[in-house]
Amino acid sequence: MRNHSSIRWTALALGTAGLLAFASHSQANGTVTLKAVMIHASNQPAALDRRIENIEYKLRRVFKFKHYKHVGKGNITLSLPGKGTIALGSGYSLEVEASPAGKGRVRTRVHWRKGGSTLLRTSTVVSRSVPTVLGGASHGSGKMIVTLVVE
Amino acid sequence: MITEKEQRLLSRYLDGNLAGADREGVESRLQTDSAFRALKTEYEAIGQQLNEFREPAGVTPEAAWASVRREIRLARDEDGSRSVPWHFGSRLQWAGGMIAAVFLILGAWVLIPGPAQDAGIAKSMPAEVEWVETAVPDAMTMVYQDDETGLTVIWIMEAEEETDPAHAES
Repeated sequence: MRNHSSIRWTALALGTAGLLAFASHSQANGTVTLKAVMIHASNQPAALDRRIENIEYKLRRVFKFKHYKHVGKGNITLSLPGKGTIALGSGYSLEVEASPAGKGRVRTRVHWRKGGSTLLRTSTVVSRSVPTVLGGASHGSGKMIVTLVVE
Repeated sequence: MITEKEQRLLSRYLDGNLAGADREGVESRLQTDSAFRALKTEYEAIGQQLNEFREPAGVTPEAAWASVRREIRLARDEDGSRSVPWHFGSRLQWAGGMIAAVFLILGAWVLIPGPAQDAGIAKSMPAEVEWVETAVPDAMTMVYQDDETGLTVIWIMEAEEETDPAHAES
């Protein structure tokens, strides 16, 4: 009977260890979805675009452009660490690389390109659901803006 | 002729359950009626045979099984490998194991931050820009944190912008 008791306790310990290892592994090696929306900001009259209504009111508080127009968007889901490319339309794209940054945050390295030219390269540590705004690239009579959110 | 009622009275008399006038009647009948005495003798013989077949109380099946279990329990107690009664030992061990498992899982839940906890912490933390560079000719970059909206802006300032045309007065 003593042997049976030892076997039970060993099985229990192994099961618990397995559960902890699984939980730890899932946490460390999760997936993230990066959502990018490209917006053309200008002072040229344009109709309200409902596709960007959840971010436009924030952009209006930060920038002094009068009008904001949805140009393109793209999503990519990555296993951490991972990298990929988001095509935004009109020749613009984002090359993104994501990795865990601790405390639930994500390190994103972003390469904003137009055709074969580099517009911007940056590395940021971001929280989930908090948008980061890249912008300033001239386009027509206005500027291109990209909002990037990690979910 | 012995009636059925007289037979029942005789049986109760032999069992010691007869008193009063009925008892006196049976005793008087036994002294005067040889057939009644013969019936008494027959009843006593039957009773004696029944007693011979009756088993002692201690060896009924239930008692025998209780004895076996007691012997097993005593043998285990003498072995000294258990500090709790045998018939509760297994259950108590499993209960102890389950309690330990629950504590371990709760500990893991507290120590390993879950996605929901992370989201709660992370939402209060602004984005941290580690570095930024641009390849646009004659341009520079600017990082701006807007507390009101929570937006972190990374902006390309091109050469023709004499002032900062993009940002509001801030």
